[in-house]
Amino acid sequence: MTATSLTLETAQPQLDAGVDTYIVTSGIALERDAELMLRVREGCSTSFAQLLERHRGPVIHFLYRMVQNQAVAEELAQEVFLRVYRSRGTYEPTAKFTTWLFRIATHLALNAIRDGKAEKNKESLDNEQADGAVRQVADRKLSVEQVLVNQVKVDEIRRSIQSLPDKQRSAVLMHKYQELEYSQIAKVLNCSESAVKSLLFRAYETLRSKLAHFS
Amino acid sequence: MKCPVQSGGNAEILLDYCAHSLDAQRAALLEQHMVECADCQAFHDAQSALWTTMDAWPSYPEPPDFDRKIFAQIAAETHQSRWRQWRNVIETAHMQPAMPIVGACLAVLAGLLFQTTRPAAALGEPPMHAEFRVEPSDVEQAESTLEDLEMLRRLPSVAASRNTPENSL
Amino acid sequence: MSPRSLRRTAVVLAAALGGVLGTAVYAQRRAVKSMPAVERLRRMTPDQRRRALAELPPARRQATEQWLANWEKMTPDERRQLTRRYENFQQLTPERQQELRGVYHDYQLLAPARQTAVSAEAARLRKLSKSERLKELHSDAFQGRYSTPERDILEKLARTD
Repeated sequence: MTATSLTLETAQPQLDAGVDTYIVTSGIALERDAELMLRVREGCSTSFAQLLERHRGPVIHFLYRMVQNQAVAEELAQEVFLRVYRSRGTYEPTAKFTTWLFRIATHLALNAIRDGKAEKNKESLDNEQADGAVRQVADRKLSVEQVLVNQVKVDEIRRSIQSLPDKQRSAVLMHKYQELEYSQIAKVLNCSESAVKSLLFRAYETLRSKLAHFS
Repeated sequence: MKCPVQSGGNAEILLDYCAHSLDAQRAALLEQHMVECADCQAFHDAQSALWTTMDAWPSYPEPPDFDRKIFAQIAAETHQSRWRQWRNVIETAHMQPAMPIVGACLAVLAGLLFQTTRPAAALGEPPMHAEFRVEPSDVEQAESTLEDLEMLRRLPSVAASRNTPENSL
Repeated sequence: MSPRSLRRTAVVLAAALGGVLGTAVYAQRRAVKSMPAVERLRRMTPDQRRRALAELPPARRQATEQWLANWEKMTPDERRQLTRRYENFQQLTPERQQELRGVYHDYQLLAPARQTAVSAEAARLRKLSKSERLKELHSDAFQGRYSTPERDILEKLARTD
């Protein structure tokens, strides 16, 4: 559904429609997130709670995979949403909300990595993975062997992705796990769409060679 | 169809196909091409295997008190900004000439109260000088200004500076 | 030396001293006006500053201390120039400010040798007129010399409309 197809005075607001639908008010079609954000600008905290509900998970998961440390990822995700809230007064729906959100998240994650927060990753991840393994055994009744094999696999994926250059890593995580479009990734990374495609191509090429033994 | 692997120009079509995000029409064309093209078939097999392998990295449970922490932080910041608003009102209400006198009176009063109520054991760290007391939002403002200054210091400038602001630095 | 030339020398020296002091005071005042929070932080004693910055998470605190140290190390003249750039930056649209932050982010991702090359190119481009700069940016030689992200950085820095 395109924005222009809904710019009709007669169209009704679709406040509870799905993620990809648009809301129409006074003849202007807006992405639902943008509409919510404009309400946040007017002081509506319920709309901010809705934005949190919609984007909390993707942002946390993206940051987790970027910094590979649960505590740091949570701290950064909090900061992402606080920055969104603090910017409400000057918000204008000029770009897709998720693009803006992931731009802030990527910026914070790369800063955290640069500042050395990621140095503590190893220990933290080992603890988290051990906890995860215990959960898997308890919850899914997998054999200890299956869990260990899976853990080795995840660990290799994690390390292979971590070894990618910052931009390639960000692009792969947004493409594979967040399913962002090339144009969105380009805006997040401040580069052209063709540059994103080339980044992804190189990154997947590296990953294919590093993780080939799992296929 | 131009071979995505050989031409290199539209290689993303293979990535999209393996990510199941290619439209049906182009997917059909690619499938047709792959029947005859060993390079594309090999690429497809390797990329699909990678795609499946990468699915093994799970998502993690969201922290249960995430929203609560954010709203608590927002409430704290709102409280601070209200206090700042009050301070601005006082500062802009043409009361500046009286402020030193009011400040001096308050300081004397506070000093008297402090002298009469301070227990001997409460002598801890000296308080921060009142002139330099900063609120958390001030620290954040300083942080972001310094970050921008650092950026401007290190980032090369291309456009020559002019008196009127433009989109350049 | 005649009394007249002595007087003249004294006047010149006084004017030079006044100029230097005036520039320093002007730079300081301008910085205070443009960046009150930074100046408050700067005027604190080390202990006061430590307590003020303790509110930030460790990594951010460390970075802020480093940036502040960089600012302190500058000469008054460098500080005045940077303050002017900051004031210009403050007057840009939020979108353009964000774009430049993104450019800086990309610039930091370049290897040190490439950063030097991009900086040198920026300095070269600065000497050209706007039309010459545009012509240069679209030339084959330029396209061949720099990678896509490097060209992107230089093009965005050079954009004036």
